[in-house]
Amino acid sequence: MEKKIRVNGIKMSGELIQVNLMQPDDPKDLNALFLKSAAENRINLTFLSCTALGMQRQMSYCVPSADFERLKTILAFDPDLKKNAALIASVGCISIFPHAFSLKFIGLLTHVFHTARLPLYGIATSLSVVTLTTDFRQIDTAVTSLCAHLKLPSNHAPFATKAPEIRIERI
Amino acid sequence: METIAIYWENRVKTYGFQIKQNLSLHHLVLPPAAVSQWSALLLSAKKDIIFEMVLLQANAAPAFDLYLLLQKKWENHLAALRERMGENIPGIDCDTYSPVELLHFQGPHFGDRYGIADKVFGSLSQESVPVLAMGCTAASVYIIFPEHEAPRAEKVLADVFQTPEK
Repeated sequence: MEKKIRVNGIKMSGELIQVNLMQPDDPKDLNALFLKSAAENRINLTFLSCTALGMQRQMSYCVPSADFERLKTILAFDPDLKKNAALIASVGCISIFPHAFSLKFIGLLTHVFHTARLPLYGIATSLSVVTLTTDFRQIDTAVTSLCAHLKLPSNHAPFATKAPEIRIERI
Repeated sequence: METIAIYWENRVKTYGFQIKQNLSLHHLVLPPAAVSQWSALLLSAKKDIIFEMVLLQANAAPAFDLYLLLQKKWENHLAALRERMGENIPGIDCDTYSPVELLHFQGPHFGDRYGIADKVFGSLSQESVPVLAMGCTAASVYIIFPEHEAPRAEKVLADVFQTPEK
């Protein structure tokens, strides 16, 4: 049995929608357009990854499923956004901390997802947290699979937030 | 859905900007079949590689675009891993961009607030600061720039975001 890796916590998001946006070879900046529209429509982005290397420009955003109507408004507003966006309807984020900046740890996460045949839609790291996006309907299975390889403190916080979802409105 | 109202600063607060320079960004395109081998290689490697940032995007190919931001001292270790991988799965594409720079910052409740990414991209775009990659999770914003651009980006962002007084 391999040695379990010690982590301090795991957090599961609520249900999200992932928007994968490809920038076509066009001067119109779809990323800027989407971000501006999301801000104007008060949509929080739970997860964002953007890359712009060479000719390839790809963006992924996760928004709360409660904002689906607002998201549809954004996409309907601009035909280029609609044409180049692919939606994944039911997505969840799993955040694990700390990652200790270890590439082996990232390898463990991708190994667990591959072995358990779980979909992996994206990964992004921050100062201490690594966040993965996967199918929301399989998020419990994903966390259970991960926990088989991770050692959590006995008093760790609950994985899922039981508090009601909130929308922050600016005053 | 419960709605709460909160105070919103005119200039969004941050805990300060951090810059790291002289890094290298590696872009690997992994077919789905290669993910298992890639993971196994990482797990069996004698020496771990310490990263600065990792991004993974699933593309339509279908394949995974894996972006590894590393200090330059890890380049040989990564090359050795790729070589071992290439022995069994030929045709793994890898592009390296070097040197590149990282700017990252955190702010209160960034994960729960809308408009932060727009403020970042909008202000950088207005000043024509090129961005190679960006990742936002929880309360953090991580941005990768070409060489010499991170200090310029810091100046631009410092006009838009509030930083702690030094």
